[in-house]
Amino acid sequence: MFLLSIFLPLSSFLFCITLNKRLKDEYICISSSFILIFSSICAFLSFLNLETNQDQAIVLSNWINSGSFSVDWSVQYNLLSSSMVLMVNFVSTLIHIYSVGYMVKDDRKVIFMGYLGLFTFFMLFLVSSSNLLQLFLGWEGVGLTSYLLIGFWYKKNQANVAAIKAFVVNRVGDFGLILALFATFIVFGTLNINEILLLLESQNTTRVEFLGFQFHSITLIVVLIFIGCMGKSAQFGLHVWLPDAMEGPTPVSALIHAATMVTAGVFLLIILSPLIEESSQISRSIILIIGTITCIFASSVAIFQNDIKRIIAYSTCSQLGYMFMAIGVSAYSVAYFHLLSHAFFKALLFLGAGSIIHSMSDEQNIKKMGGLYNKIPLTYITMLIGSFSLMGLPFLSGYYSKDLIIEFIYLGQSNIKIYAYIISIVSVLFTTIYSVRLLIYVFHRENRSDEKVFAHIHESPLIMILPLTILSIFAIFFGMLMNSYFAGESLFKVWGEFMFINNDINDEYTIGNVPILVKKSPLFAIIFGIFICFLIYFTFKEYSQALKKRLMILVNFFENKLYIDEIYNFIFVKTSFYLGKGFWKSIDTDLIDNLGPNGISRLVGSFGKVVSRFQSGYLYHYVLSVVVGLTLFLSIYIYIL
Amino acid sequence: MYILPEIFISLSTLILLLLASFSKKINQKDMAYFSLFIIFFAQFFILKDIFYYEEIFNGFFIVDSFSSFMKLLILICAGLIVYFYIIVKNPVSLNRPEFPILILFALVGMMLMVSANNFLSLFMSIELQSLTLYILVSFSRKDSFSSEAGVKYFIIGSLSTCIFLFGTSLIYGLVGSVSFESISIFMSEQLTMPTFLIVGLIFILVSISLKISAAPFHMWTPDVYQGAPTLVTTLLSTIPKIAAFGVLIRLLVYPFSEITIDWGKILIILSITSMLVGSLGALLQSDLKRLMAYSTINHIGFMLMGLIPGTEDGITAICIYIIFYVTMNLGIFLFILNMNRDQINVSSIKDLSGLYKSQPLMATFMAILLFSMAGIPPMAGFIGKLIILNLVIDNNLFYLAIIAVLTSVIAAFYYIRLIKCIFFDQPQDELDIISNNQSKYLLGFFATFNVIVIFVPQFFLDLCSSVTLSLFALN
Repeated sequence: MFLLSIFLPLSSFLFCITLNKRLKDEYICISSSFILIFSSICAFLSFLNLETNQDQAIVLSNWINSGSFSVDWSVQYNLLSSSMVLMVNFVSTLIHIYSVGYMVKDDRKVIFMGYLGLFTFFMLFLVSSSNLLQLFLGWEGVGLTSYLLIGFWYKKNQANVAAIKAFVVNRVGDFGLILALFATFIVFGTLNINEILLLLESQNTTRVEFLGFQFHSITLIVVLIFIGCMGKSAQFGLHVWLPDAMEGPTPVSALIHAATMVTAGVFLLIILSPLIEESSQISRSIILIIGTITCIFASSVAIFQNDIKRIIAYSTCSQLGYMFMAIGVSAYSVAYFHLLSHAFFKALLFLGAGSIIHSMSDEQNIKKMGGLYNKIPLTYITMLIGSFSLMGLPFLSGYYSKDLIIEFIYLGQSNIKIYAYIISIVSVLFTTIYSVRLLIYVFHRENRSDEKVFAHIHESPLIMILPLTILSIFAIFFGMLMNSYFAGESLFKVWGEFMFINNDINDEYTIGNVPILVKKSPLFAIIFGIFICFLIYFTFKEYSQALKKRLMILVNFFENKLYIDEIYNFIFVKTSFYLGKGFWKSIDTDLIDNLGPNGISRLVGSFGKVVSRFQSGYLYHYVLSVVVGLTLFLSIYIYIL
Repeated sequence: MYILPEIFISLSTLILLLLASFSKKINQKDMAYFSLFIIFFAQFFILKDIFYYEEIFNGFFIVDSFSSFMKLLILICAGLIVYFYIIVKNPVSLNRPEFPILILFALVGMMLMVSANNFLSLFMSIELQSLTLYILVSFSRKDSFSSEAGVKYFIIGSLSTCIFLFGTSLIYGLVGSVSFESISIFMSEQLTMPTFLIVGLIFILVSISLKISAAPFHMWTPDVYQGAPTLVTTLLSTIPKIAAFGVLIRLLVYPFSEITIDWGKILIILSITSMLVGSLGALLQSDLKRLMAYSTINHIGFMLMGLIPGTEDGITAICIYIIFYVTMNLGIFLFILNMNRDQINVSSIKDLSGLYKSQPLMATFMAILLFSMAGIPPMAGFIGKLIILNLVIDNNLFYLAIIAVLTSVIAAFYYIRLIKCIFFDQPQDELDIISNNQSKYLLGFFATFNVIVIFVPQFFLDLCSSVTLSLFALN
């Protein structure tokens, strides 16, 4: 059952690719959605059948067996993987259904559905893997499908550029992960996750040499893995691909760049949580610092963006920052909780944005929208729910998960926790501001689009609204129902086997050792944020415009995303182009080609001519050659050998 | 009676000859069927005694598993060639009942060659083989090319015979005997080898090099291959090569095993020149048969490399290579035999262009065979090359391995040029579509064989290493 839920999406991919053009497009799309629905049901059933603390590795076959290195194709069946499989399957199913409506006018929609299926398979493969190499395969697989899907509209130049950028930036992270795999094998002699965790105790003092320095082995591994996670989960420094990835179709953004793939990094760190706990404090501090920077950076940049999808993309970035912060203070369960609830409300937001874009005839700039609340009421409501959940308004999913993170940061043992705490609160404020700004610009101000578009505004079809509704329900109730499993008394009982639980923090949380001011601070930040927004956009409209002019430098700074793209462009892209051009022109074409392939082929050709010239056709020449050959051999033997 | 297959073939061939001269009703097709039948039966005689070992006629001939294996290979090839003769539309000049009979006579010669255990018997059998081949090459008497090829082949062949006899007489002068056994004993008794023994061996090596067309004694090959009727070219490029290799292996490994280092050096030079000439010479050819001649030279160079260490592994590698080489060669020649335009046989490379458009299946088979020739994995040719290169590297002959790889790259160029021609060039006048199904099936068989070998390489390794064992049992 569990295996079925993993491999059905692959069959959906094969189904779409092989039957493309042979059946009617609509049928294929719908049946691929049905395959996914079936797969979700399987995932759900296998989740229900799971016994408490069951942890079973289903070995499919041996993959590589070379010396002491042995890797199996195997699937880990436990609460962690099973819940993740369920979530991925569920969100993917909804997005499959949504795509049937969204991509209706695209003539390559079958391929699109196929790619979605392939992505889902790789993602499931990643989260259910029981060894790091197989996980890496899934990791690369999702990277590949992400590339294919970002560049899906390959006729658009920007889409291609964005796809290449995503791929290249991810490669940087992947390189870290590969090095981590090597280091893991050197230190532990295995890549099986369970075996690694068993061997932890015995290896926690080993040191390895890396780049000529001696490092504490486990710390090194964790930092390298984290670099991999930074790439995939778009953390500060390697985040540049995520906003650009919004060039892809919106369902892709929802599935890959919000709900599933980008959380792979967080998930990997959660599985390896005991490893992180064995490493030194430095590695956790690095994770916390990077998470914090990402969080505040992305949320502040999001305020100044105008593209609806980019705003949500930066929001994703900052929410991922929250998750890494939670990991940095050893609150893995909370990070996982936020991962799941974020998947729901962020997918909801993206699909809502897709619905808006769909109804606005592919307009993405929020400055050209406005006053849509009565035109597309259903989308409006779902966007409202999504945004509120993202902000963390009480009793919605985001409220529980994000507040837990903030409280755990406060309770955490890190020596920089107080800065992290303050920044997380400021981030809540920023999150509120950009969410409210988005809602105001899109739904409440006077309309600024042209007549034709405005007249054409319509609510999306049912097939698109249905997933929105389902996701809204989850965005509202998921946190309320589930929060007791991820923190508090039952935490250890549920998750103790599968991830590291920091009992000190959890106990303090359970007794309620959090000041009321800390507990309520996010709420204050939200209210303050809403207040500011109303001031800026309604009460003091004129003043705010003037203020904006005064602070033009600052605004530009944020609008241009802190110029990070430009800096990267200058340092890496330009230099490598320059170097590449240099190598190509002077070394490759002039030196190597001339001496190498071209020169040698010229040489070979002329030798060929010489050999052919000997072949004169005259018999006496032939006889001569025999006699000369014989004499040659004899003289070689007698005089030389 | 271990010599039974040879006796059987020669007797029945004589009967066939009588039948052909006295009965007007029997045409060449019937003759070919009879020959096929004879060859088929002879295989059973060999299979029966394949693991026996015996010296017969006072050590004139030897029957061991190596010779039996070589004979079997020769018989199978000859059978296939006779079968080609039956299924393919031949030029009129070949439609004479003597043709299959001559093949049978050559066959007897070659079977005796691999069995020979004495320079005298070896000489006799080589002559029997050569004389029939001279006739076969010039079989199309009215075709001036064929006659020219016959004359060239005959004169070069006579030269080869002279050199062979001269070498033998030198050895006889030193040893006082022409039997392999006494030479072997003589050599093991010497403290320092007499120079003239090795000079004699060089003469004999040169003579055999002429037979296997190793460079620089290859000059006759392209002309004869091109001039001879295609079916005869097919025969020339396979069976005599197997037989000559059998002789070479036995000669070097059995009586002259004491001086492996000396003849090894000569073989190194022979193989390097052969590979170079084989790969470079083919570059500018425009005729398929000529190209195949150079390709043969190149392959021979490769096979010679396997003999250099003079070990069991080396002989095994050569045997495997021969099997693969023969299948590829027969496949490609079968296609050339079927290359007709407006009922006239053609063999230019340009004629291949656009073959993929008119006969996609045949083009695919051809491509597989050519890839195999070029030694591209996972075809059979690759495995053969791999085993030999492995062996060369094991014996620390790195420079030889490098030269071999480089020449294979050059050789790959002209094979792949043919593939480019087949698949991408614009067709000019299309070839006639191959109409006889047997040819198609056989071509398919050869192609499939070349592909599936990768799955069962161990089978061939085991087979060949089991037959080579007998060669080393003597020492």
